This record gives sequence, structure tokens and C-alpha cells, in this order.
Amino acid sequence: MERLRAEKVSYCYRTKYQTIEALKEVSCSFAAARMYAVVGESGSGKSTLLSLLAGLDVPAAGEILIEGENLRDMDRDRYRRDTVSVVYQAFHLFPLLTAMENVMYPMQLQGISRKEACRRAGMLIRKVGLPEKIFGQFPKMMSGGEQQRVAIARALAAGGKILLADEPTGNLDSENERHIVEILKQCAHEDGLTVIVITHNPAVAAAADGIWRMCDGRLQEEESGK
Amino acid sequence: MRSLSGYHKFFGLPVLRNLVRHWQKSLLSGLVGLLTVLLLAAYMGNMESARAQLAALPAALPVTGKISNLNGSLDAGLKIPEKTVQGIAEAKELKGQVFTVLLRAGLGVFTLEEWEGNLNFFVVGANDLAGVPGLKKEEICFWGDVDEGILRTAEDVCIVDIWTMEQNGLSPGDEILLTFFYYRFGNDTGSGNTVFIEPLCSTYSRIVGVMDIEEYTGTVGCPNLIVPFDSARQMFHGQDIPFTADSVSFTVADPFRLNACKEELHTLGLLPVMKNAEYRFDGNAVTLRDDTFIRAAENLRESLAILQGILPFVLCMIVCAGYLCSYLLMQSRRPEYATMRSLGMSWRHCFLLLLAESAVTETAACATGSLLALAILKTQPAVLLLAGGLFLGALLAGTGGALWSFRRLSVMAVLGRGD
Repeated sequence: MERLRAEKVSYCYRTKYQTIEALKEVSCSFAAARMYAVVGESGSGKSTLLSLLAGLDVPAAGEILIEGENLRDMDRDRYRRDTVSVVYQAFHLFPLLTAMENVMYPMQLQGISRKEACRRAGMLIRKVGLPEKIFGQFPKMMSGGEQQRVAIARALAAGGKILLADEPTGNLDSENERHIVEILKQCAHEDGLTVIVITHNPAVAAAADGIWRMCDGRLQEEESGK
Repeated sequence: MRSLSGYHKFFGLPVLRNLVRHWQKSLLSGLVGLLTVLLLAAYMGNMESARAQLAALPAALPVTGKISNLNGSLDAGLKIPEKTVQGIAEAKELKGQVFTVLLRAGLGVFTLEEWEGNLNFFVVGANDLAGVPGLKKEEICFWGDVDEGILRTAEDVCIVDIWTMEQNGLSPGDEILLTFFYYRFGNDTGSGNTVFIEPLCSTYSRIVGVMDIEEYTGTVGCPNLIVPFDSARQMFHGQDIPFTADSVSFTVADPFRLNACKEELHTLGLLPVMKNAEYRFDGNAVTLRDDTFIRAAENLRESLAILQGILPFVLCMIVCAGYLCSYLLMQSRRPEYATMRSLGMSWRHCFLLLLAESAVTETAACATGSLLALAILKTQPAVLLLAGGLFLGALLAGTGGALWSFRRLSVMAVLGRGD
């Protein structure tokens, strides 16, 4: 079932001196319960595409459709709150919140009671393979792998249908990288999420169900290794 | 549309928790706010003090005036027409008017020809004790229920000096028969003015007080009797003799309306003193002692104008301080802001959350600063309230401006790799 679709999406960055066309009529579609990898050189427009899919910006031309509904017509704050979650390479956990509080954050933003958010956050942290002792720890007390897992738990906390990950294993060792990939695959295959991972890492790309390659603002579908 | 209850849950506590989490920044921001409030309180306290001094100036430096002759050499022993006296008594711009008229008198009934041995008393008709130079209130002992207010009536009463009482075997409460004479100013003959003593009337007068003047500072003889000004005036009216007063002095009711006062005095026919004018007894000029008041008022007004003039700049500086402080402090919180946005918090919610953090910090700083100002600078609570309100308004405007600039912040640029 198609969940997310981009139709002839274009985007350009305008500076004082030049206009850079980051995306050129990009079209792609992403199905539910599948994990995709978007690969490409630095500056090819991968993060721009992710930013548009995450509803952080709107395309200059073209449309992004979520289960047939045009993102332009949606409340983008609500879309980010309820439908899509993003995991970043630099984790971007709130440094002054504990792991538990970080995971509770999106739920509290949704108006879920503190007690219920606390219960669900505990479940999610366990789900990403972290022990209970991590609950009260602050991000700087955790390893990179632990932080990334907390970030994934936070992304799952909102209960959205789409999970975007921007180089989620970029700062991790190979052991942690494997764990994170497993969790992402689990999210897609067991929880039915559409997972889109932006990566330079061939191993991560190889684990995906579908691969898209970005080159000079254009997107091409590649044969996946599966 | 999303219900607001969720927002409420996610507003009050997070603000306080954020403040605690960012306690170093909150403390720094609070200290800046506290110092600003102290400075603003000191500045506005000065402004209020200048305003209060200006308001208190008429009481501290009253502007007084006197009727004089045209060249200003005489302010007593004058010939001040009744029309002028009445005009000054009724003038709106004046208060505390003191009128006197000089008379002579003797006990019993006698004619001008019999003056020798009889015309022994110097008499002052006054509506206020201030009309008798050097006489102090405590030097008079009133009889019965009478007080100095008796001088503002037209009753046939008198206050007699103790020496006269003893010499003539008089007692307080006695009714004495007196024959009064007045000073008549003759026509100018070209070589000066001439003053005549003329009979006025004989009347009974009740002794209502005894005086013992230690140090008379007047120019004419020390008075043996004081009678109410209006009773003396009635003696003239009873005899169809044109009344003239000897001296008139007053206080300007509102020294800030000096021009209106001068205008009113001008309409009464009074002229400014002309030093080169001929020496005469006619009381037709007025001297106002307003130099000190004008100088002090001008200085205070100038100070106040300067303080008020720089108020907009002071407020602008607070706005700028609010902007800069918030802008600089928020730089390190850009990823936090971007993450909040990426998690679906609306820009408006972020703005209000961060503004509320600033508002709580600055309100606490404002309260502490105000208490310190109250304790150290003794600033008035009303001034502190105003200063606090201006500080919070200006600072939050600056903070709002700084947070507004975050609206254009690219969330992806902060969170992503800038790809």
C-alpha cells in the first residue's frame, strides 16, 4: 500500500548571488511496512528531500501526498507531531532531559497525560533494547548507540506512520550500526511503518527493501539487494 | 483543530522546568534584568523626585508680593485706594492678603485742637497679625474665646499693648471710648507730598487682647492698639471719607501661574516698579519676589525635561538589551528549538514557551530588583510599579523580537548536515 508519494518535486535554495536547484522534478513513492534507503553523494539533495518529506519545508513545485492527501493542504505542525518522525545523525536529544523525558516529550506534546506517557516511554525504551537503568540518564551520560536508540524510541513515541532517518548510523561503530539497522527494519516489518533512511553506508542501504539514488537533484530507483 | 488542553498541559510546568534546567542562563538573564530594574528604578526615582520637588516648590519658596510706590522705595505708609484694596482682596490668583491702615487715637472724646495730651496712641488696622511688623503670635494674650481671627471681622474691638493698659488702668474686656484720627495725603505741591492728621470718629471699642511687643520692626511708631482692618474701614465709610490703606501684601496662589497673576494685577491698575519714577506716597506699583522661585523652577524643569527626554532612549536600550540577551542566549538553544519544531511544536507554541520562560525570569528579576530598590534607593512603590511595568514591557518586546527572528530559522539546516 502506497503511503508516501512525491510527484515532480522541485526545490531550490536562493542566496544573494545564486539559485541552487537542489531537487529537480523528483518523483518517488514509498509503501507501508517497508524500509527504503536513499543514497547519493554529499550535496546531491538527500537531506533536502528528507526535509520536504518531514514537512519542515514545502516544495517550490510538485506535490507530496500522504496516503493521497496533499501535504500543502495539511497542518504541517500536526503532520510532524502525529504522522512523521525524524531520527538524526547527531541524535538531537534534549540535553537537559533524561532518556525517559526525551521519549515522553512528543507524547506530552500530543496532550497525553504524564502518567500514560511515562508508561509508554518505558515500553519503547525497552523495545529498542535499552535497559531500565538508562531511564534516568541524561544524553551525555549515554554512548552514541544508546543515544540513537533513545532517539528512535522518541521517534516511535509519537505513533506516526512514517519514520525518516538522516544518516542514523553515521556516528556509530559497526556493532551499534547493526543494532540500529535491525531496529529500523523491525519498525518497518513488524510495526508497519514506512522507514526511509538517508545513508552513505552501503551496508545500511543493502538492508533496505528498496533503494533510491539521488544524483544532482534527481532521483532514480535502484535494484535492491533483496 | 487540536484541543487547547494539551497545550496547557505542555506549558506551565515545562517553562519552569526549562528555567531550572537552563539555570545558568536563567541566572545570567535574571541578573541582567535585576541590574536594569535597579538602574531604571534609580532613574525614574530621580524623575519622580524632581517632579515632587517641583510640585512642592510653591510651598517651599512662596512667591510674595507687596504694593509699593512707583519707584519702589516705600512698601508701607502708602496711599493705596480702596478700589485696589478690594481688587486685591478678591483676586483669584492671590491668597494670604494682608492689609493695614495706620491711624492715631486717644482715650475719650476730643477735637483736633485738643490733640495735645490726648492723641497718644498709634493704631494699626490689620486683618492679620502679619500686618504688624515684628509682632509674634505668642506676644498676644487674647481674652475669652477670642483668637486672632477677630482681626478678619469688622467688630469694634481692639488689642492694647500692656504699657497702655497699665498707664490707663485698663483691663481686658473693658469697653473704652476712643477718638480716632487718620492720615490724609495732601495734593502734591511739586516739592513732595504732604500728610495731614484729620479727625475720623469717636467710638466704643472692647479690649479683646493684650500685647507685649518686644521687638517692633516697623517704620512708624510701635502701635499701642490694633483694630480689625474692616472696622477701621467702616469708620471711614461712616464718615464718608475716602478710605486708603497703608500697606498691602500677598502671596501668589499658584506660582506656576505667575503670568496670569501679573495679568490680574495689571488689570487692577498696578504697574511694575520704575526705579527712576518720582517719589510719591501713591501705592500704585507692585513688587513680586519671584526671582528665586523662577530660578529654582527653571532648574527643576530643565532637569525633568532632560530626564523625560532620554526616557525613550532608555526604553530603546532596554528593548535592545532584551533583544541581544535573548538572541545570544538562544543561539546555544537553536538545536533545542529546531528539535521542538521537528517534533511538531508549532512556531507559535515555541515562541510563547520561550517568551514565557523569559517573562518568568524577568518578572522574578523585576520583583527582586524592585525590592532592592525599595530597600536601598527608597524608591516609591508607585514609581517601582511603573518602572517594573516599563522594564517588563520593553524587555519582553526585545525578547519577542529576538524570538521572532527564529521564525526564519531552517530546522533542517540546524538538525541536518546541511546537505
